[in-house]
Amino acid sequence: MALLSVRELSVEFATRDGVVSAVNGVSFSLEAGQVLALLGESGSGKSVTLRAILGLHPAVRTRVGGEVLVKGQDVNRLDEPSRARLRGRIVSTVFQEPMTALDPVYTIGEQIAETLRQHRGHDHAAARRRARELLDLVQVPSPDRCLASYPHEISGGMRQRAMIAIALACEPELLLADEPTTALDVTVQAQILWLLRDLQKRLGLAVIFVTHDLGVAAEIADEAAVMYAGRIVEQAPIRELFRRPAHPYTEGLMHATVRRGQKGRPLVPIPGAPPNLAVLPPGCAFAPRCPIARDPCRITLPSFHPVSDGHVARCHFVTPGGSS
Amino acid sequence: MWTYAGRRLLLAIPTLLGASIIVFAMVHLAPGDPIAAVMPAESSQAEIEATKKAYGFDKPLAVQYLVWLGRVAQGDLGRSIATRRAVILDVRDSLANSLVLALSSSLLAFGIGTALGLLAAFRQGRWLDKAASAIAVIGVSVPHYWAGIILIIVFSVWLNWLPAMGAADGGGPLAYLRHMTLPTVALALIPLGVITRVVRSAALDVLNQEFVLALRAKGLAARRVFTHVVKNSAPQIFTVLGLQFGFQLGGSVLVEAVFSWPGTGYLLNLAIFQRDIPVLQGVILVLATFFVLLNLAVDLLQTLVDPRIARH
Ligand SMILES: Nc1ncnc2c1ncn2[C@@H]1O[C@H](COP(=O)(O)OP(=O)(O)O)[C@@H](O)[C@H]1O
Ligand code: SF4
Ligand SMILES: [Mg+2]
Repeated sequence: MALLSVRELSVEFATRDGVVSAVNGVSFSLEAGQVLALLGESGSGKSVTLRAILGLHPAVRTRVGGEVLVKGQDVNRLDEPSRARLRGRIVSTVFQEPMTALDPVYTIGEQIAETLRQHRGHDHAAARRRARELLDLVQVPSPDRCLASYPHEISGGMRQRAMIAIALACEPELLLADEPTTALDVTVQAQILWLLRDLQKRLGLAVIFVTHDLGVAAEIADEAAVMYAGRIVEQAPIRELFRRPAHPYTEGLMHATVRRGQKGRPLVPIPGAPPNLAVLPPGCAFAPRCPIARDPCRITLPSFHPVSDGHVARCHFVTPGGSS
Repeated sequence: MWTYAGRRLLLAIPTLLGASIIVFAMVHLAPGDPIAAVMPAESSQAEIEATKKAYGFDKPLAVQYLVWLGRVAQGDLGRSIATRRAVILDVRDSLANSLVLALSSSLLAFGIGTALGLLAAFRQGRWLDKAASAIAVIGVSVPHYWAGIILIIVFSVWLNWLPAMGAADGGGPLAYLRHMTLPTVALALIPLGVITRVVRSAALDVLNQEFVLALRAKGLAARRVFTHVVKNSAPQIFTVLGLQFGFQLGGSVLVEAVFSWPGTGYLLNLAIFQRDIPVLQGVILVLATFFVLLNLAVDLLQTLVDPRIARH
């Protein structure tokens, strides 16, 4: 049984401008210890997908469809207390901006300890011991000072380490990392990335690593899924994806980002903007921006076409063995 | 924390001095002879001489002010023109009565307003939220003297459950309680509305922050998340509570008049109609001091709750 299995997940928000389809029939699964990179421009539905995995979308004005099986349990059918028992214990989250994701009026120590009290029933002393251990694990240089600090008193890098410590407090099996390095300084980005990669290996964590940076994805992931307008448009093992991008959108992304060994090549941004999710076209959502779009693209929604073993792309003009 | 407290205390001093100067100036701004402003018309020559000496009307204004301030500092606020009693006694008694009313109405409004505001925020958009908003709007928009009159008509005149006038001097604690019930309710309406609205919006601000999502994402039980939200909205809640308590002390002139409740508002009212300048001076000075100290207390309480204020 897969650790996580997402089937036909859809998330819709009722807004003033109509029903926004933020996630549309997303399916993938993840084995223990596997790292999946979730790629795509901002607004493509990555964060909404992660929130749906934890069942965090509020009931009002939101419709969540499909299945999210965590160790066989469907999150969408669990009641709130049972979901809370999964969160932080089986599935943990690291957010993009630790400054806003940590409570400003609680110390780091209190925020780690309360997680342990919630799931493990630790008493004060045990929670404190474990909190210190965790800060050692995430390589915080002066753990005692950090435990007693409020979030605004430590640096951005330390805050993100503290956030990771909270996420790992109850030894989860799956870590959802939502652009965990995007908000940090460049040098700190690399440190946090190495730390996450190191922890993933040592603890055998499964990770969904959300990023719009292909270089970062290449560093950490085994597998990659590219999202566009709430749909997965291409999925492949990470090396295969870089070697043979099959979807025009993935190719566009690659031309638009800097990668190692490609210095000196001009960056070509993808022309146009992502579609309005309240009025998605009937055909391929990428058609207005696609350099090779033809009439069928605007009429019928492409389904997944195999490119090679374990490599699929949602494009009418994919041929097995190579890109269109 | 302590240096911050000291700094705030020092800042309070000029405010208090400013208030005392205005109060002092009232004697000289009143039309006619300053002696006439502070002395009853039928005072004996000896009394007039004593007052002249105390105020030092022959000396420069600055000296007069300092002499007067020295006496005020010792608790001597002069004598009432109307009753000849020492003003300090009248002010003390009325302040006690007003404080009782301010406290009871504040407690009522704080308790219900905070609970309603928090519930409304956590049930945003549901019927409970709408009901709380309706209560808040009614509380703020009904004039409280009018509410007082309605309360008297219903509970005193029709039902004859509760007394409508005075404070039952010498009637014992139970009679006092019965007398203060209706003015308490009338005075609680506005702060109840204001507090409900402010607490609701403060809690909603916090609820929309990302860390609340993060707390839920780590599996924290709803009641623990609730504690986080309350603690984060506490500075805003304390501010509105402190301000409302201040308004309760100063804003009860009309309600005290409607219920003939012998508080500072009632005394102020009386003093204005009787042109009793010493009483007016005494009440205003004591109330001003009280407001400044109250603001200070609220500020310091906030720094205890929110570590960011004092440490920066
Ligand atoms: N609560 C919400 N109500 C309405 N629209 C939302 C809500 N949350 C997200 N969206 C929309 O869903 C789309 C996907 O958002 P998101 O998953 O955050 O993108 P990203 O891939 O950058 O993480 C965006 O267009 C966003 O505006
Ligand atoms: S289906 Fe058509 S429009 Fe869509 S990506 Fe493929 S070629 Fe482009
Ligand atoms: Mg996002």
